Amino acid sequence: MLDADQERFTSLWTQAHPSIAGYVAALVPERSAADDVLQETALTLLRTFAEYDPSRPFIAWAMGVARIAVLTRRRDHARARSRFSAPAAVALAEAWQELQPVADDRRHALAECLRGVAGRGRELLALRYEQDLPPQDIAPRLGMTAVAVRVALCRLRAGLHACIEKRLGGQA
Amino acid sequence: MSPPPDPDSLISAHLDGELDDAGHRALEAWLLADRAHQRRFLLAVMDHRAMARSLAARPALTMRTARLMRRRRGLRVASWSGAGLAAALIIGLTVLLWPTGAAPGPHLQVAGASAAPGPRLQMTDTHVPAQRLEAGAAVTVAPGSGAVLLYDDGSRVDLDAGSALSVTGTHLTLQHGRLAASVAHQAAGQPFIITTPNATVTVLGTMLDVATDGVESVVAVTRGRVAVERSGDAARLEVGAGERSVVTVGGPLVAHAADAPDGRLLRVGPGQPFATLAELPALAPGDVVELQPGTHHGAWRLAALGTALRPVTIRGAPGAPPLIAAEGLVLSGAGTVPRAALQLEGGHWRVQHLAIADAHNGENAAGIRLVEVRGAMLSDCRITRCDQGIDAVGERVAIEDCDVGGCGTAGAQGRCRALSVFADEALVRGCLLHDQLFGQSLRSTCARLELVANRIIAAADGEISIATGAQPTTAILSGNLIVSSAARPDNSMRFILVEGEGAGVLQLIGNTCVAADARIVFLIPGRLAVAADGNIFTGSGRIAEAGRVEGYRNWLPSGATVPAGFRDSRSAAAPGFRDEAQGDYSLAPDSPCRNTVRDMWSQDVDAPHAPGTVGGLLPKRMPAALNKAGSRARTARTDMGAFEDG
Repeated sequence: MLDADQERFTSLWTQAHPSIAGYVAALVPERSAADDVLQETALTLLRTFAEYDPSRPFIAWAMGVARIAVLTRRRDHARARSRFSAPAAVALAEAWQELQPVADDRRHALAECLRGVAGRGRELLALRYEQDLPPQDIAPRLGMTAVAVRVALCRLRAGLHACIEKRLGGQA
Repeated sequence: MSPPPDPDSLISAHLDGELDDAGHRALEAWLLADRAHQRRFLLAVMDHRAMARSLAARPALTMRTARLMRRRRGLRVASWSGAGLAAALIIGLTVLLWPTGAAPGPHLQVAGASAAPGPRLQMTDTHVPAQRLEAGAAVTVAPGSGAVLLYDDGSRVDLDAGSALSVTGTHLTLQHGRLAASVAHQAAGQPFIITTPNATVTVLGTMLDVATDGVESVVAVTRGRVAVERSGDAARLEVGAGERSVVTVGGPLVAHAADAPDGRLLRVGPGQPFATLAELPALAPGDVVELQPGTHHGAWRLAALGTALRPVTIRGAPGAPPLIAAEGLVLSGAGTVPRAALQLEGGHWRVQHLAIADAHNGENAAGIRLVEVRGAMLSDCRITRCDQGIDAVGERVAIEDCDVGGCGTAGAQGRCRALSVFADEALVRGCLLHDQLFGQSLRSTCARLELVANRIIAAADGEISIATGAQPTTAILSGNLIVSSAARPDNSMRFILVEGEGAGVLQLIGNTCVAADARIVFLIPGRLAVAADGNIFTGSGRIAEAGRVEGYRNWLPSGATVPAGFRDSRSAAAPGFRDEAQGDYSLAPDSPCRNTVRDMWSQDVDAPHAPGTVGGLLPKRMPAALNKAGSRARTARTDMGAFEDG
């Protein structure tokens, strides 16, 4: 690859990366597995960059490569754990691209809404996201059952979603 | 029983990496039902990632550390009931457990066998005695096997391969799989109860089938009536004789005639509501697409989300099978162009009674192509003059009673196949694969492959190839007639070829293998351990290349190079086919191969393999698939080869 192409690829990939990473995370919730898929996607894009048609959006091309990487992983690991099917991966890729314009506004709204979470809810979010603990490890720390933690997390997320939608006036 | 999970719970569990297979299927079904659902899901993912970034107080774990932590956390979602799990932990009896990692799984795992009164469990494909089950016994029936529960009042419950359930007297909890119950009249107040993850079926004396994939359930009644109650909303329904009901999450709870589709009947053809497949609406679980007789020119690509219990069916109307003809098209697979005359993607499918011809792109266009399917059953299809016959990639694929012949293209010399399957599990039964041009009859890249009662005839470049991989491979060939072509390229002497470095087992039971060239090598086993019992090898004395090859009572040509692991082989001038010249490979009355194997399906008769050998680890059983095919009777003394002539 020429230096100019390398530079161009780096620029395009840097712009596309957050969106592609989000899409992969939607389909592959385990972080390390998602990292693997993202890395595979980047390598494939780099290897095949000569085939990229610059008249078309880079992100759409990259999303297609990521989708194949996810499905390949699903096939290779199908016996270990289920993954989204090809039709679902395609549908989610299209929907994910449509949502990208609202991502920044949504992130700001989320930050505002998080300020309103206090007490046990705040503790729960801290353990889940700051400490990266799964529900069964959170449960003994808060004196709750794992099922209760799962229910509480589900309600917190739904509440935050409602708060964000309200702040954004339903624009998402 | 807990109510069905709502979408928010499914999304939340997905974000926490705690969604089990059933939950994942439910989430995917919900997602594909509505674009708004996809947006709702993706917004939750977006928020989840944003919180992870903004709240994270420390660097992300390294990949290795994260993996180690996940291993320590272990299973997150239990699939067994409390009683079943307790019984499994306390007793843990396993019947016929394979002692090595390379060998296939057990036919049947039972936790909770007992001498106390209770139903008796009998495997249907071996002579292992029935065993009584105690309350809470957990039963798992492995792929390719079968079992039956026998009650003292005459009730019986047949369990399909792959089923998992717990048994407490007359209360069965079916986690997944299918059972067929014939229940004697039960005393008032003591019903026979079958519970699935989303339904409870109460039986007072009847004959019925119950199946579940863990998300939805199907109840079909042959005799009598049953009461069905859906978990979650406690909706109730009575299902009578000749009726069937599908219990889904949130769908209507109704019964309909057992032979009617679970979804819509969509007729396609001239004068029908849909002129071509291209005009069909989005397909939903249970839909049946029926092509009218005649020729349908074109090629189609369909994606749908049928479920395991409600697959989308593409079938020909009764009468002569409709022909899908792709003549003149270049099926490149680029963009929206299919790479097959009929390309089916995702979900669960059933394809029946179709003829397909002339799918080409000069390399790899197929008659039927399955792309990332969860499950597919192809039956009664005839495919001819395509680059490839059937090209299947998915989780579970079954192909039955299909005729695939005359396929191949010079553009892919050596790589054309009548049938190419890349799946977790594949069953090919009762098919005719023949006259393949420029390649092999069949190539498998499956963790588990069963070839049963097929005729595999005259491929240009080898009969069967089995590619192995990281997962151990189990390949079972039983009751097949395999005949090589007399007009092969000189450089191709392979018959059954194993490729790759993966381990596993290749089991050949009662096959007739006919080489048209004395230089052909029947078995190139690679790293698979081979056990061959009761087969006929004729036409070449080169039985196997180096490898772990064992055999018991096979027929070999006089002067054959006998593998060191073969015992009690038989030889004569000829195996005594009725009329080999006319392609009749059944056995003449005076054939030396007749009645030579004492019940080759029995676990203990003749003790053909010593403990610790490959064969000693393998089940001496009739594969359930062969048993159902009815191609040979289970007799005390069986014939060598693929045909049972009495």
